[in-house]
Amino acid sequence: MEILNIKNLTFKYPQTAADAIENVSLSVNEGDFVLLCGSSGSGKTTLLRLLKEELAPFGERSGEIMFFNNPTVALVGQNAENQIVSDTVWHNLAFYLESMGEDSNTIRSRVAEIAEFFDLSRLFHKETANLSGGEKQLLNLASVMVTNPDILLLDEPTSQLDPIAARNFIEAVKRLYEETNLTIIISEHRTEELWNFANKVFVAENGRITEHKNSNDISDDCIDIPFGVKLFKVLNENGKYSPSIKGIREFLKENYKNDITSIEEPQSAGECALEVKNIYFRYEKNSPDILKGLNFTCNFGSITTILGGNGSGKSTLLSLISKINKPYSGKIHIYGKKVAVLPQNVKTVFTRDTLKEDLSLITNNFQRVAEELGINHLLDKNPYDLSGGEVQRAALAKILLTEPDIICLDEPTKGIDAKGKGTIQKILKELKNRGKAVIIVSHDADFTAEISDKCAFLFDDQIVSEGTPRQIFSSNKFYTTYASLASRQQFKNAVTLDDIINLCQRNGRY
Amino acid sequence: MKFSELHPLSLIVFFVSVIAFSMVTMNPILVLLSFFAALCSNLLIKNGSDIKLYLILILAISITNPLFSHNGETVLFFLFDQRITLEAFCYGVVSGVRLVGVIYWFRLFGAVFSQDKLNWFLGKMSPKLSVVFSMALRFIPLVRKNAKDIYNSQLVMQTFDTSTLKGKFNLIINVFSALISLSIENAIETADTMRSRGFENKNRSAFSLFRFKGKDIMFIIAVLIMDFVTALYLFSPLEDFYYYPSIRFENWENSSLFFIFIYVILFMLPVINDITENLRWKYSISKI
Amino acid sequence: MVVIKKYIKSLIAVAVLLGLSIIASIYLQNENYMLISLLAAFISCVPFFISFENNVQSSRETVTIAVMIALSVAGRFIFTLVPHFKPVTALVIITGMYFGPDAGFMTGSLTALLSNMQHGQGPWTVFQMAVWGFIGFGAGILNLKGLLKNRFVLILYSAVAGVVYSLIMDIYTTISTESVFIVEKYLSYVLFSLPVMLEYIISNIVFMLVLEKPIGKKLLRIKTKYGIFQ
Repeated sequence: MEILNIKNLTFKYPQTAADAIENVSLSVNEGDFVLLCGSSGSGKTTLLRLLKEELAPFGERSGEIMFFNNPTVALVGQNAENQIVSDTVWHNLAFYLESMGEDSNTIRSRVAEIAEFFDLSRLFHKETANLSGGEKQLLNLASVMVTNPDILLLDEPTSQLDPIAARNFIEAVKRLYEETNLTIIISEHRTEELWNFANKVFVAENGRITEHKNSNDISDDCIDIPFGVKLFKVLNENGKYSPSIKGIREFLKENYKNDITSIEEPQSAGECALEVKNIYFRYEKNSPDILKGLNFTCNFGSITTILGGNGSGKSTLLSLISKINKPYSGKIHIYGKKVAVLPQNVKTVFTRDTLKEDLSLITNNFQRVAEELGINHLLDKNPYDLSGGEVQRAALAKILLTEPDIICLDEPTKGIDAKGKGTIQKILKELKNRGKAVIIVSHDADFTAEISDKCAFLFDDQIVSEGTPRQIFSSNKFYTTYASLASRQQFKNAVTLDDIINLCQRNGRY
Repeated sequence: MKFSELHPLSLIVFFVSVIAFSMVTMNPILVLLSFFAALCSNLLIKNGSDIKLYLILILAISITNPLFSHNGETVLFFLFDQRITLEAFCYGVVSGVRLVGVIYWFRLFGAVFSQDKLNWFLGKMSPKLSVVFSMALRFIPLVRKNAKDIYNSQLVMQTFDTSTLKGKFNLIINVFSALISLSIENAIETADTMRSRGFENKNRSAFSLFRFKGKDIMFIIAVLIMDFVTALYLFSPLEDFYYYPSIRFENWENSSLFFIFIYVILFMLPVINDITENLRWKYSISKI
Repeated sequence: MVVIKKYIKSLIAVAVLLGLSIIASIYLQNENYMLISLLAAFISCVPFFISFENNVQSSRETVTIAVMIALSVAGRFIFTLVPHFKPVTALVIITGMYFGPDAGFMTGSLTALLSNMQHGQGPWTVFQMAVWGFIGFGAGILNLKGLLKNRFVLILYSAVAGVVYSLIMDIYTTISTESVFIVEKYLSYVLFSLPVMLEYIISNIVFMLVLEKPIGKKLLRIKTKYGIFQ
């Protein structure tokens, strides 16, 4: 039974030239699980917000959105922190019911039930300030489920989460879908886990959103399609294998020889840029050590990535390198002239009302850098009016103006879509070619594998393994890339899509 | 159930009673008893009393009072041609003790009446006010974290020369003004979330996790009865105590003992409650 | 004048309640100054809270007020450069100026309540709630006609705010140590706390001079961007 029908919907934001959504017609049935994919700015968020009346953006709008049987709509957005509406977990859960003026007993039982379902009971009395990002997003999901929605809209709900929290969240959504009669529309960059689960896939490209029927109708511009689909597209496989890890394994085994099993590592050796020797660090006198006897080096003209889960001390290490904090024992030798840091929250770089003013705080010769990072057309804007990818490039421009030769980036792919990741990758490679030392802190294995010359795996206050991405990810069994998981039976050290394609082409088909 | 676990309403009834009574009387017996009870409760429940600091305060008030008030018959000595009297000194001591007693009751109130209880109270007065209150509580750690992040970002970029005081000040002003943008822009999304969860509806209710239990009813009834008895005493001439022109306490009768006994019970309720509670708990544990 | 009329109801309510409590204190005679003044301070906040409950509907405005409170409370942890120099009063005035009298009052009074949660509650909390509330409210009222846009008036108001705050807290000190309000004693407290008062005045003026421009600019932008406090 149809629950939602969109007919010729077009939407334009005020003071913009192009339509954000152009002539979209879609239909969703009751109980559908819809995956909506496409890069940032393709109209996904706009569409989802238009479906939720209270959050609908202002602008010119034509066409029709029809709901059948008066469904209740709920939405969870991407920024977990900003959707927390009160200081305690229980009060977030109760908030909607209070708004409706429900009495205490009703609220008490509804809240208890929801908390139990989402396994939030152990956090029930906690203050939200003490929750992790994943817990916060789960709380947001639970808080909107209190409203008893018929349609649940999820707008890139995991884009700010680390991989493990993201997986937990997706699992919770799947369980919710399987156990209730909910209609779900979810937009996601990490589509691997949902591609096969969803019974409908919508693909958004430049404001046009269409239903996807098979892999041929996806153009090459759309990067958010799952790894397997991408691989099959390049290797001209259609339809026989499922684009899951298992499917790819079968496909490779049955179609490709494996005479050549590994890729030779290019030799690279630059001068040492930074040396961290046996450092110990804790925040307060009586708190536990965050880093214990840690050693780490990185070279000029190379990209080094520090990998590790939440709370493993990655960001702390960056704060020591940039001299915000000091180790209580051990030495840090910096052979470069200047260290710059792109913080996780990139907006903290700006203090002025326009980008131009902010850049001029560093130097007036910002034209060249602005051009290189493609932010020339944004100079008169307020940093807060920029999109996620734009604000990141702008922040990078500002720190590059300080002319650093050691550049640290804290989680540069957080909340950035595949296209944006491509742009950063290009910029960082360019910096590397100019002889700068680049240090990235990340838990994004796929991005790391593609970009790094060296990876260091930080776990439990020290670095436990170190090597090239191919060495690290091909020997890791669980914390590794999708490509490595899918190809390890066939090849020894293929850790990226390009690696697999490279080896497949060199080996040839049966 | 410990004193601090009582329903916020019970606690309010108790604290309003003891603080109001402590403020209205200058009878030294009652003032001392209130002070003593407040001190015991603080030691037992709040684990500390800062007694030295408050003794100094009492001393300061005792000394300064005779400098301003020259009533009283018993002149101790003359200072700059002004009479310094015993009565004024005594009055100073008692009013100092009374003030510190009241402060102690507030301290205990602050320790027992936690954020969620305060929020319950505001919610009863105005549900929207309690939302502002809990939002602000949530924003304080967030704002502090953001401030630190902005500060560190600016420090690493060396946008401002921090070797001089002026440069440091300039840095902080810039951090603060960036903080305003960051905090409000983020909060707008929170606001929209609240709206989509029905915040702008009329007739908002205020939910709390507190439940009114049988013990709360007993507690409140007990407090109100003792309030009534104590009020009788305070309004009767039995309580009257005069400092000027000379110290007099003439209306003492044996029945006063009864009133004072009730007064002590009332003021010692937190201590009595928690000690019996401890004993009962130990007894129950010993049976396991 | 129409705009100002909106606030007259609250002011009349405050005046009536204060009058009643003064009459009550005279009737009850000397002994209860402390209690009565506590009640009076509390009561003078009530009409504003009621008007807030009944009037403000927009969630964006509500949340913005909460942010301003959090900023004022956290302000003292951020400006630790010079001890005793706190931007609270300046922030409350700025909030009143740009977001109106109601927002000014709420920010002032709740800032007092919340910052004392970290520094210890006492009878003084209620006084601070009322005083800071009225400072924010006054800034809002004066700026309804754009009076505080004049830099001289703004500085004057900040200075007066420092004086009033200090004088009222001296009243509290006087009656808290003594049931009776002795004028000489009060004056001596005022004299005694002159250095502190001076500190308030200077820090208010300094913070106003450096904060008003950059913050005002940002608040104006936010006002137009999100259509709040129009």
